[in-house]
Amino acid sequence: MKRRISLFGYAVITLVIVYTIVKLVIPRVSMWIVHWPYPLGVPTTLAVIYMLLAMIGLAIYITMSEKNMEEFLTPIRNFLRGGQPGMKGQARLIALVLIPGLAGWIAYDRVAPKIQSPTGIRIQHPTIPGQYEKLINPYRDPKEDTVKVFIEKEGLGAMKIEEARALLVQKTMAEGRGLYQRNCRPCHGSKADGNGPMALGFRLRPANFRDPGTIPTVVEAYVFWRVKEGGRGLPRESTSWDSAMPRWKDELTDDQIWKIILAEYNTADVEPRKPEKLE
Amino acid sequence: MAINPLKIEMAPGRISAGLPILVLSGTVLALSFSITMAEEPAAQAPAAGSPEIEAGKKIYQKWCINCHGEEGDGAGPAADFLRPRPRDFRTGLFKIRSTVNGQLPSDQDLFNVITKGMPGTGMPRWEHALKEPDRRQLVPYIKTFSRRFARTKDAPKPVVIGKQIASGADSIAKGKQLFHDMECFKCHGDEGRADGPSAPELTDDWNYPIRPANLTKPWNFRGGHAPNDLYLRLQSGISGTPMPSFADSLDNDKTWHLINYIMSLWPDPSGDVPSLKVVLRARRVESEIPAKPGDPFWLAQEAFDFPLVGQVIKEPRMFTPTGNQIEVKAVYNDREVAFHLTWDDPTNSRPDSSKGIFEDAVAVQLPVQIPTGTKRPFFLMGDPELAVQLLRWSVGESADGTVTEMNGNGIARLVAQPSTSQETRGVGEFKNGRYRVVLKRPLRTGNTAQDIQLEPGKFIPIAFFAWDGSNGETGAKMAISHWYYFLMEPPLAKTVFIYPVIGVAVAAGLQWWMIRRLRQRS
Repeated sequence: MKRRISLFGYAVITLVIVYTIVKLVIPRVSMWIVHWPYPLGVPTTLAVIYMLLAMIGLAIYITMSEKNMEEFLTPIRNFLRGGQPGMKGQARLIALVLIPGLAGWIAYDRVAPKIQSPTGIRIQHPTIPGQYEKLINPYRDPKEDTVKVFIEKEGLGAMKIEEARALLVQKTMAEGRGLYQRNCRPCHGSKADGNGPMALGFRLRPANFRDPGTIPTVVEAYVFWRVKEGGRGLPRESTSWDSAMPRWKDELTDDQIWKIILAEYNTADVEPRKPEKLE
Repeated sequence: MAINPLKIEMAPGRISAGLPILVLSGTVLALSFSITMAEEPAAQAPAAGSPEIEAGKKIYQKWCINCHGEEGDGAGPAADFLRPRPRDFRTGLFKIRSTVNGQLPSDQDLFNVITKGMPGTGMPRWEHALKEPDRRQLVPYIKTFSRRFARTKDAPKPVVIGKQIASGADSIAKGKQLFHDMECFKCHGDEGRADGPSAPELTDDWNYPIRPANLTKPWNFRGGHAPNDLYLRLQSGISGTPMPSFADSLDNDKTWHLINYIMSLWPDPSGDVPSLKVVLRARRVESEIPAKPGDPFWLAQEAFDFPLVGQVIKEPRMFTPTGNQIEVKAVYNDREVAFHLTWDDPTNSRPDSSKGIFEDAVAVQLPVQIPTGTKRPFFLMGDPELAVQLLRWSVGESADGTVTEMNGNGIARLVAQPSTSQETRGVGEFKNGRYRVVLKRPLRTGNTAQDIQLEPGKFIPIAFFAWDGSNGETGAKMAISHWYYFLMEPPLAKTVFIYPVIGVAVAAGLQWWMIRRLRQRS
């Protein structure tokens, strides 16, 4: 049976299909699987492995029989030998010029100096200093005494403790939101997505609190330390010189910072990590 | 223009957010509504307390009150940090409308603004943070703040967008004439950089100062920069601001000519924000570098844009700076390096203490020592450990401006170098809302303790600052950039040209050999 497309053609088509799957289909499918708004690309090394596997498979099939080998090589031989009429002949000439050109371009690409700014490793979450480690946000789950004081102060009289506690949290949350929007919004954004009006000016981008890798992964005491000491309080391996985070202890009280943290988690629609019980 | 009487009643009596507000607001709102309803029974008044309104209110109170205020008066706790200020919903005046002049916005208009945000303002895109039903739910609640919605029975009439006229030299020329005839330049400036003679005095309907749009920066247009968006703004005006509707004077054709002219002022036809590059490259030239910023030499050099934002790290902060972008070109020769800086500023400000005006200025920041590892000085004017050098140009007294070399070990520790070590020369000019400045400095100087010694091929941190004196910008109140890199391109090595030639030769040789063998066989 005579095939309309030669084995060489099939080999090329197979490689194109595999490349399309790696570059387009897999990232699309990943969006659908993980429900993220942007595709997850296949890492280059993995893409190379997939392509190599496809080529090895093709090589095995082609070299399995003399007939296959012959069928695969014939178009290449015909192309090199030449003598095609008209358009085909011209296309051959163009290809013969392009192939050495491509080789030259690859060589140039390898040796030409690339403008690539220096990259450094940055530790995103340095270890929290000891004096901060055990702190607890007094406003997240206020103690009974605090709630009682609140009931008295606000003249809530016979209100049940649990009801008053919820009201107290609601009140501190509203205060915290106001403080957050005044002080943090310019960089971290109204939605706590790290996209405030000033954010684009800083190459070390303000943290996106909706990102699971930021505040949801740390305890509130950690956030308290970061807010209080700011960029200047970062160790050297966390590139303190690039951080635009102010040292808020100069301007905010501890109480205000805790209120902000309460509101910050709420604004970002995330929960803080629970402190681990240590012996 | 309409000033809401409610504003006068309510503004002094505003209570700070807290528990009383949380408890009472429902009652207050319900009360104000019952009054409204009693005064003018309107058919379409949304019933306060209806589930639809209550659901919107809940979302509003979580996400919107800190700018727009509990009462929708645009005076939430964050309002003072914003310019333009958050909208006061009580007047029913909304900037971005698709409806004819003087009418209320459509529900879809309000929904679109919530969804897409307003570029260049504090209003963010809520598209991803709030789900679509939640964003829709906000619309009826926002409408409860103004009586106008309840009073208006008929649905607002949309602006009809006529057939678009393709851009071309002829249409742009007509648009330019209209730009002049309609007196657009009086606010937007001769070249569209928001520097018109009336610009400094403009106020909105609430008497807050307001700036005209810089027409050369379409990515900051509040209602988007698609041609149809521009059509709607011209036809329906921007309510609550001095931007009027031109529906009476511009027919469909004229509107499109004007749009085509405005679009011709953009740096890029897409209207998108210029792409950010991290490395500022300086080409080596063999000639003398022109000192004048208007010299045609500079047109041929590659431009790099860097974003500027307010200095919000240390007090005194600047939340609403004028500068939002600076364009930089750099070249060097065997003796000196030159920076060509361009940025927009609507006024040429000279110091005037009686009016609270400071001088306009710009600065290039470099570290004193080229960093060898990752460590470098703090990007905001250095730190006690590592110093930075500033090459600062200011409007000054002379026609070309004044240049000062300074050193910084922190924003509060900035010192001018002694006059014997002032080696940077600069020439600046201001025209049509734009500064252009050339700063030139020797590559190497005698003062190695305070001056950076520049070396080709090294990645040197670089940052930029700008001050608009008419905007209260002086000292720490300014527009800043982060660290970027400055690279003086070293001359190319010869191998860069030899290897590709070898590559071509080898490939061509192999090809020729294979063809020859195949032909011999057959």
